[in-house]
Amino acid sequence: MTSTSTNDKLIEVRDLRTYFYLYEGIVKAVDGVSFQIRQGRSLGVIGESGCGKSVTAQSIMRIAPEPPAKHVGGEILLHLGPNNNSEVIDMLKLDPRGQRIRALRWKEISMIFQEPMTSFSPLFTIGNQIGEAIELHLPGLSKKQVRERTIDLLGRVGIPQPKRLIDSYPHQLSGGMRQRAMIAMALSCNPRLLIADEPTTALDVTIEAQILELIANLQREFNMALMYISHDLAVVSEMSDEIMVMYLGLVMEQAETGEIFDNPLHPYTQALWRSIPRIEGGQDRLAPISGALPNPYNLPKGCPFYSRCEHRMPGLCDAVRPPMIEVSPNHKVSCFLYKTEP
Amino acid sequence: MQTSLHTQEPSTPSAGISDTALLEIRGLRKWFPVQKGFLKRTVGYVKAVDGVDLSIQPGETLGVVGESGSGKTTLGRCVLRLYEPTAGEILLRDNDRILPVHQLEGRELQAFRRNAQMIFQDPYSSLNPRMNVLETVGEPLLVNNVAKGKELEDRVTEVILQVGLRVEHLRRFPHSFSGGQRQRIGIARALVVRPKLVVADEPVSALDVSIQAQILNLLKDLQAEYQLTYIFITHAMSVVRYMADRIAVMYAGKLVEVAGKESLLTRPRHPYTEALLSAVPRTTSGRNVKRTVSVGEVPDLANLPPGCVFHPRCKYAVDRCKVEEPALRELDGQLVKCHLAEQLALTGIGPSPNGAGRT
Repeated sequence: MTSTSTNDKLIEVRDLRTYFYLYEGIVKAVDGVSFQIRQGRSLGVIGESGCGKSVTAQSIMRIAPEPPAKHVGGEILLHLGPNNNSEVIDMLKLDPRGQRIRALRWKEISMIFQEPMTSFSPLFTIGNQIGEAIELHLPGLSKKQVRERTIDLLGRVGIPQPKRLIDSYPHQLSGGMRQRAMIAMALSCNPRLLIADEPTTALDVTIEAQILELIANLQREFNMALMYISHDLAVVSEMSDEIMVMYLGLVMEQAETGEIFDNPLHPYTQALWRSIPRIEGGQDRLAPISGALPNPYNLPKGCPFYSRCEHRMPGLCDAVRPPMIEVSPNHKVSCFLYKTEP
Repeated sequence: MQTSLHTQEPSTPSAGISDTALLEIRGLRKWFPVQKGFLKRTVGYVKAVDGVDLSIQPGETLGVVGESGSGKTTLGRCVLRLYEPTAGEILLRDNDRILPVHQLEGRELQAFRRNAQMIFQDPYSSLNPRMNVLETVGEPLLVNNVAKGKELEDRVTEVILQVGLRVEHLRRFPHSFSGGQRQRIGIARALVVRPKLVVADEPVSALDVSIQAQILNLLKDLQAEYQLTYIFITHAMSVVRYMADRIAVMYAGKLVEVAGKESLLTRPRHPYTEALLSAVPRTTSGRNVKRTVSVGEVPDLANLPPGCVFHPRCKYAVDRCKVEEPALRELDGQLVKCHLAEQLALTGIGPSPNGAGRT
């Protein structure tokens, strides 16, 4: 988990730009996002709704609805690893409905979603749906082997009596159990990257704790990379080695988990930290972020946080978009208040 | 405070309430019938709220926490008579009178609604899209015959300014507002009749993190200004820590622990409270947290286990817990419903090492 060699890069996103072309105008949902995740590591993505965190994930899977979405720039490089001649694929160059990407989804990258009820078809049993994914990606298994593998998976994600529940329909399971089944389906073909888009938001706190523990254990067991998306700081901090803070389609700051909580640099990160109630207490009064989100159809030219920032520098911040700079090793921030380490 | 859980004849007239309490709930039950077949025969009951006793002091915020299905929303709605309680008493102090809320009818029930209002969770579905802000916020004044015409408009204007909206918003319709602004409209609508008691059911759960802080601060400011009493229902422990003075923990329709905020969070007395607190993710814990995760899920409310309702999930349970239901009793000023409360040393949330200083 702590290996830092550059060879075990799994996914590399460079300057990703995903725009939505709508009747009302163009929404630059993701406007120049870069990051990478190494084998076995986890990256947490934090941001409010509309910051582009889900669209980033959907772009990696190529499941953003095209149209209206369009990938207007950047690269998403998937490193297939030594077993596949270290081939590197640019996901953005693939046909989103083609054979190649279908072979990569679930097998290399899989995703779990917020609402497991809508992710499963209500017409088929969960065993049926998980089995289908296995049959597609691991051809050559007999019906019996597929069923055994499904039962084994359901057991591993903590579903009691998997032999019986394999034949149940999604509506017969509770929210927590459905999310477990969703995770079993996502892991059915041993993916190397798991993208989790707010998988516990719809769940109760005690069930959430169970699911978080399950995902963390499975990540270790399968040595998967994890991209964990949430608006809940505490959840992300428990799930991630590194955290990326997004605002209006841009990365504001990125650092190791401990560092970004103890030493947040970007004014947006600082404001966000101050505005959130914490279970540890010690807050006399929360400090809400002043102002409102700018109109998404007409984003400012410079820093997107300019209008709400306490430290804004007129003439600079509203004119030029601040570049991403590395202020200390592995701590990057996009703000003119900081300079690169000399 | 009365701690007996089973008021045998809950409809007997009350002898009045304790000297200071604003609201007193005794033996409250709400059972929803489970009906089956063509004749809709009642085959059982979902015991959403089953024997709750609570008393609330004026000006305080009582946080009600619990998992979904624990009955916290049903409790809030029964208090406001949005649901008809199956049994039990609800007594509200109205100046020198004690209103028996559970048996109010007609005109008196209407008068009660001027004293107690609700803020709903979802600002998108709780506002009528065909009514503008003036109509939405003014409606409680109109139906309660408090004000009309120019006076109504003045009072609506006053309250929407207080919740942080502007005069030009009066003629606008809900679709033109953001989630945070809609929740402000919902708050204005609740406060326009100057209630004493406000039940807030997950008022910030549907809002974005940076908007949550604005609404929570607004609720606190309004409470200070109007001496409001809040029943604050939420599943988010960090929010309840910020808002509440006292916390009531519900599980499967029953109160399992009621205590002052600090003592409940730092030194819980009920194993369910411990499990609930342990499950809350924290920014300080980092990766690889070890927690006392409670196994299993909330029990089926139509078919509750015998004995203590929590015993199937409780890691401290002994044989006695499986057969004998514990009473909600007082222990060092906290109310707890557990046979073993004296013997257990449970872990809560320690004070934050640098919580306040972290920016």
